[in-house]
Amino acid sequence: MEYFVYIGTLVAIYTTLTISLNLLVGYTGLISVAQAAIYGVGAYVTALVALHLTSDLLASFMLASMSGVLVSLVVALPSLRLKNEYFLIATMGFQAIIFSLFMNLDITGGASGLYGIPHPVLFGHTIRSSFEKFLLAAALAVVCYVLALRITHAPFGRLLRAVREDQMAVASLGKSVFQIKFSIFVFSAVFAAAAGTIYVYSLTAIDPVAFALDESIFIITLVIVGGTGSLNGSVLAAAALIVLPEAFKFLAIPEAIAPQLRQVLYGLLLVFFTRYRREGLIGEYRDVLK
Amino acid sequence: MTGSTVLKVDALSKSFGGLRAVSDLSFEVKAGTITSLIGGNGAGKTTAFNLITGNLAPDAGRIFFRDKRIDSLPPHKVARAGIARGFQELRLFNRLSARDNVEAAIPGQRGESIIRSLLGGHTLRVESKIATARSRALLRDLTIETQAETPAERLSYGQQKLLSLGRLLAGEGELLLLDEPTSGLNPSMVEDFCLRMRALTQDGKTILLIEHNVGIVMRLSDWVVVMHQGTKIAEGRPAEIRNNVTVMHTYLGITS
Amino acid sequence: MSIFAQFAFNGIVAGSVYALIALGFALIFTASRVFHFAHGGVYTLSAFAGYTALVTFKLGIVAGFVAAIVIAALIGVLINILLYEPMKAGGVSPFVAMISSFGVLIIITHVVAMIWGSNPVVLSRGGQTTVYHFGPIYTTDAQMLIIGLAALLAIALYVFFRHMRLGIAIRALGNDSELAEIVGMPAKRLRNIAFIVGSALVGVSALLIGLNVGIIDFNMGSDIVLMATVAMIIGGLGNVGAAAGGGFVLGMIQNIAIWKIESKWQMALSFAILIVVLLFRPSGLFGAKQAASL
Repeated sequence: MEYFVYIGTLVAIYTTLTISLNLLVGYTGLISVAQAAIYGVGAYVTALVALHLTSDLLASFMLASMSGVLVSLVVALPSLRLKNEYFLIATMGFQAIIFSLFMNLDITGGASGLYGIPHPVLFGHTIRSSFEKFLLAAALAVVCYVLALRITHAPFGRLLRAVREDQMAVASLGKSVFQIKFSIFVFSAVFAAAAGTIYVYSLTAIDPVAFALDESIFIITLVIVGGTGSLNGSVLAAAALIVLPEAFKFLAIPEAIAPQLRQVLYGLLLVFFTRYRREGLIGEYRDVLK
Repeated sequence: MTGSTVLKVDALSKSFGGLRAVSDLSFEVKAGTITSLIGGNGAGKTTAFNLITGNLAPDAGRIFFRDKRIDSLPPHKVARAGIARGFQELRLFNRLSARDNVEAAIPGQRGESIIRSLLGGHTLRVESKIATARSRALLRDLTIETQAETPAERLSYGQQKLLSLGRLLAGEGELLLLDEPTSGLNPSMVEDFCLRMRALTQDGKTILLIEHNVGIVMRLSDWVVVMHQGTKIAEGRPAEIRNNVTVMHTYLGITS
Repeated sequence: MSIFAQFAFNGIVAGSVYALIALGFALIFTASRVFHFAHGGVYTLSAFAGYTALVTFKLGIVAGFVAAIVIAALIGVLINILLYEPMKAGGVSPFVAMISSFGVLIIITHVVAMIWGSNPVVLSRGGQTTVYHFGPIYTTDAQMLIIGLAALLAIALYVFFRHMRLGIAIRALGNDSELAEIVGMPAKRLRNIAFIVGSALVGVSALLIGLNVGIIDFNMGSDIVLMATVAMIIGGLGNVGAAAGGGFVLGMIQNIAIWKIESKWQMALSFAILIVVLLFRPSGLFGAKQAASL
């Protein structure tokens, strides 16, 4: 039972990460590989605050979200005026720098990370059981999904897609492309950071390796496999790609190569979908009803 | 008010490396008129457009829209001031439907801010209904209403040109900049285009167009500005230009 | 002061290492306009191929290099033929190709880990390493070879791109496929040649660098291809010499920085420089004018 709750929590966390990145990558066409770093910032901020100040859940979410906004200012403000390929490389640079901070600063615990993070407290009630934490993760995922749906159905969502098609044309309509891109970047960062909060409280420890470039690429893989621009696809992909490798455990694959095989599988999926089926499992923009 | 100056370009210059694309260019566009900007390839016409709309920054010179100086404004601010620009390559939002293309151009939509779209609510729904009605009306007027839900990339070239005009009009700009609007159109579509242009000026719009089709230029324009190698070599009414020998030599190259 | 001289020399060695990798990476980028991140995977695989020939089968150093070069060239060109070319033909943006390249990098990296294990592996050619010293500076024969090779290749590629028809054609490819066909070879064939040469280069470098360091591991390529990207951008896209120059500058900065800051910040510093260059001098330190911003 514990096991299923654990898997469920992971799926919920990755659903949030994937949907938030999908709005940035899939809808707006802004490919960023810094999502893991932002996720990590939310996690570390939550952990450090919980260890030294308070583990109040609302405070944690608020501080994590604010850190997401701050990171957006640092990363997106300078980078958004770059052309797409260079924007990606700039985000790669920021991902590396932020990861380096996780690994090398004393307060973040360096390569060993942090542990012994207290349980979150909500309105005086301590959230202790893994099931309750799963509910928390699921709640965040639902909120993210609902808000993402609102965005995609609103004129703002149309502008995102327009920016992806032709930025110069959007500007010629009197709409600020920078403002559009920046807004969605901040939204995406806030949810990535919030996912970090859930991560920390679920695991009560942080291993910095979880926030490396590989992780960013994994989240991009989820976006692509699910289908750029398809929110339902993101949910499906998160579920599929977390659950499937767990099936390896039942296939008597040796411990030593299981993690490697999992990565090879992800790499294969990424290559397959970018090469043969860029619309992903569900297809582009399928759930944008009009 | 007819007769007043809507656009004034003053001593505009722009070079790329060693190449002078626009050199000391000056002209005015009067309200309610159709002005054509003509000249051979490389004369600097599209560059002039890019300078006016803020896509390029001038090396020297000034640009006035009504009384407001706009040469240092970014493109979206120029558009908001009231200049609507069409592109030679159309630049439609290919995977969006025709209706979405037009609706995206409607100004003042509160649902276009991320905060409002997250809050949702009744006002947004009402606003959306109004926008949809307006875009449908525009599409109907352009005779492409049946294609409202078709992605722009799947329309015929003629329909795409109409859609690009629709997107331009939805923006409610006072000055319309059109770049080669009749290229690729058959004679009946060209005829339709000319009628629309006249109707628009009667509605109070001012039009500046880049056009290669000499016949249209002569027929449609109230005023013609001739460019060659980045600068203005002549301007005047169509008849005056037709009789201008310099122009005949350097650009029109016709003896008829 | 003599410590500084050693750091500076280490910088020259590191710079040469980066220059070697950046040369192949830039050659491929010039020809195909794709950031071929899978280049890192080719690097790793060829180092292990060399290891297999040299250590597992004890076939000698020459066999080691041959194995590394052949595997590298083969895998490199296969990636182009099976992945990038069809994508190009399908009109896919180089952007998406970039992402798929990451995928290939991941696949190769972890397949290597599956076959050879995730622990570092010792790579030695048997026999002693000769250590030389010039005044305050200590160096090995492998290091001198690296510097020499980097210099030689940089010059050779410069000549190739400026003065040889094939080189000029490949350069033209990046800008205009049709122009390149004037040489008489189809664009696709030219790109394949670029991949073969660029990958072979990285095969040589991988084994040489592996021998110099003494150990190889499955992550070596992933780490270094990021550095090659930084080198190429710092130096300037658009020409191979600039990329080599960028690699050299990067190596120098990393090693001289050790003087003042702890070595654990090297990576962060390198990427910080990348971002500064992207924002303020997108054409790079040595490169041709190329707009990176909208």
